[in-house]
Amino acid sequence: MWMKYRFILIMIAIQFKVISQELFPLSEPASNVPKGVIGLRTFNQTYKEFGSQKFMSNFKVMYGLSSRLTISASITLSNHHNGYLPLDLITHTHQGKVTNYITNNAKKGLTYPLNIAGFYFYGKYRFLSIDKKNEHFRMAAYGEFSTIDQAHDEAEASLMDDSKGIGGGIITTYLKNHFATSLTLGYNKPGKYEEQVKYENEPTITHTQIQYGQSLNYSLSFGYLLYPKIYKNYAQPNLNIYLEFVGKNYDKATIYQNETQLHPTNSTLIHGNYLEIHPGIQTIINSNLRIDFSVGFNLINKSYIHQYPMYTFSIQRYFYL
Amino acid sequence: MKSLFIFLLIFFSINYSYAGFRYLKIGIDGLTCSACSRSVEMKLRKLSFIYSVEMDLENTEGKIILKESETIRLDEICSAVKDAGFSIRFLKAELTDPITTKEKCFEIDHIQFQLLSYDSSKFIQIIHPCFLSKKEWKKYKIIDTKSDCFQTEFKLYLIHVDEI
Repeated sequence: MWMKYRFILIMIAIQFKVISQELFPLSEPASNVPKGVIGLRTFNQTYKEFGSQKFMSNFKVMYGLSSRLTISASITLSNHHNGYLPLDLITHTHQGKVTNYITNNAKKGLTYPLNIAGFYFYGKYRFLSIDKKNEHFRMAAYGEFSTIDQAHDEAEASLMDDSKGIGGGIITTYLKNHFATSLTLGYNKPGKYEEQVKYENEPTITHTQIQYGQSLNYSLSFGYLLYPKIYKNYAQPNLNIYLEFVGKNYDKATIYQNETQLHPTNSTLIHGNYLEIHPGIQTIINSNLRIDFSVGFNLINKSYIHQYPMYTFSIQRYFYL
Repeated sequence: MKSLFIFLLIFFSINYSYAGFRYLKIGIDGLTCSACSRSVEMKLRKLSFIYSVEMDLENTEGKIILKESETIRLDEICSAVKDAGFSIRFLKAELTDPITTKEKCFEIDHIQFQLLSYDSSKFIQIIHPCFLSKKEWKKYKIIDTKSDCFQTEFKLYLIHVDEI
């Protein structure tokens, strides 16, 4: 399917002879924030989960530590999760002295209050740069770290949204003949969520652990400029359109309750993979204030940690100190 | 005393000519968007000796007007563009007067250069690994590492060009 889209985009790029854009709404390019420059960004996602509208907002401060190294720290707010696992996520029956555990399906469509999920840190080092006139090839390595520790009952983890952990990967951004593309390949190792609950009908405290699935993440992004066709000055508003493919292959969740390992078979807790498509539009005002909007749909399989269509809206600005 | 003054005047007029930068022209590689171009311009404008920068977004070139009273540091121009995340394709200049000397070492606005070509043009290109693409720099094969023109490690060479 995406081969078809790629062909269409290449044809459009050739037609318009556009200057390409690499300020993708979802994916980070291999380029950096300039040295000594501070960037502020708010990244927001929303989707309807049955009867409930879900929100996630990430507020990020970026800084160009050197021409090659960008660091960022951000805080995430969301109404995706409750402060504890669903009480009936794991139920059990007793047969004599043997306890049989059963995992139930994830709870969807419930309304939770907006809360501070935690902090997310990201660093990116550009290690290769081949610059030519109106053309470049860049590669960067990134690392990410999250303190976010939300109670969620799906195998898939998202470090910016719901799970603590670490991640890293390689970004390759390539631009030729006025057409830009970026490929990100990454790995996430989420931590585990733990909680101890005293149930009314249980004599002891129930200790539950969920180790979320490690994952391989990938994205392929394309972008180009619709307006202006010829740059004259910085005041011209830019209008860019994007097409991003975002995919993930994640491992199953490993669940322990009271030291017993469970083997869930629910679709939300087993391993999975999916590929999404996110067409997007962006305007850049005064060559600095960036406003992005994109909408995501599933192409192959689907994610169980969000619904479709998923709307992404972000605003970003650089401050030259 | 008068004859000494005339002697000195003749001596210096033979061996030296005086030229300053009228303006610089810089070509930037790797630029793909106006926001990127703006980052380069903002970095350049922070330099104390730069009066203004006019970027030609379409050709990814910039015209740099210098302040007369400030010390010009070309190494800072190199760092500023690198810090913005881009590379310099060329750095050229129009001089106030043509270079008339045949001496190897020549100073413009207190910056020492070694001349690689001799011409009466007022237009020059500065030859240095930071001010050229890797491919262009390789063409020069400058091996004069023991040149007595320089007291610093930032060795700048000059060629004349017809226009900028």
